[in-house]
Amino acid sequence: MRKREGFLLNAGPTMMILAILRENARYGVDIARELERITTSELSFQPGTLYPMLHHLQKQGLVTSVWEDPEGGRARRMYHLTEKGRAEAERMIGAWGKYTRAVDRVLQETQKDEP
Amino acid sequence: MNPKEHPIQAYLAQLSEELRGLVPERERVHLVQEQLFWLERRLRDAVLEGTPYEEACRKVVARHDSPKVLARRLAHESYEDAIDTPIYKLLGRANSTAAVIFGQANLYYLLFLQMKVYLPPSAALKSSLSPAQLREVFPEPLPFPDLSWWFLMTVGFPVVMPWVLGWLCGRMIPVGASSAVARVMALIVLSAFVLGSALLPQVEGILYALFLLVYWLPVGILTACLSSSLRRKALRHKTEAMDCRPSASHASIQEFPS
Repeated sequence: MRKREGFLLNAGPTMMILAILRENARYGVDIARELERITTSELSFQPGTLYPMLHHLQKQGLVTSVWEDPEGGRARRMYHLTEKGRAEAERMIGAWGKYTRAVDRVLQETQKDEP
Repeated sequence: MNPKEHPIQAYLAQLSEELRGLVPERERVHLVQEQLFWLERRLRDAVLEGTPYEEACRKVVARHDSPKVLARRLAHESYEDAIDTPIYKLLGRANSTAAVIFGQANLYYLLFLQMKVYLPPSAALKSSLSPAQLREVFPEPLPFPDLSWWFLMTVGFPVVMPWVLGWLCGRMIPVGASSAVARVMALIVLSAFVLGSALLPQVEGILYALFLLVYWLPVGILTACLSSSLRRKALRHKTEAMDCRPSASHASIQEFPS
């Protein structure tokens, strides 16, 4: 693997958040629900994991958030992808595609060789 | 369901209590409400899937992070965001604070050791007490104490400082102080092996780095952990006392529709 693509091994959750936000701005809970819907609950985010990750993405300038404080007393943050975040998402998803295709080829080739 | 026995209500009350004093009051209300919003959505999903309401409430809370864990993470975010500077953004506020505190002390001590090792002995500073006066305090057969400022600094400083610095870090970083100290000390220890060997005679340099590893690192982490825990308690008590005023109620999060 090329050195600059080593990040992929740890990038899964970040990439999934960016990919989900690429479609629409969402609340934290809706990011978690969307992930569960797509993966049929194979993967899930708890708030204690999701919010620190979103916070980290915000510090990197990939995501912004706005507090909404409606009358009913259910304040929540709406997360948006920034332009930088959109570009980063495209880059990561492209690299991920190449990486998984390469891994798939290795797995398929080695499966054929088994007796 | 009695609101007091409602699992979600109980969870939110505990979370609110855990966050007390660690984040500004307005932010605490918002963070708790956000969790209420999260739990309500989860509850609605579970009920729509056919789970009975009471069971769904319990399941939703059981699947959520514990109030203590969640409060720590949310409070850490709030602490990191409270001051926005490029360095804090890059390294994190807790890490930067621990790095300044522990890094400065180590730099001064390293410079001091260099002076001690390389200055001629005659240049050493002596205490104002004469040998006879010292013997009045430390009679024979006790060893003759070398009470020069050099000696006190060489031995006293490294023994006392990790307790003081760890304590200071804990006071300044209410959440995650021990991990910030651990990260910073790990870097300082690694650099001490290089800097110690380069700036001091090799044996002294390695001894200095080993001393940091076996004494400063654990003592710093332990003291920071203890100090930040006491700090959190103090902040909580302080805010509780302020809550006695009628204006500081959180009526909005007490209303959960069952």
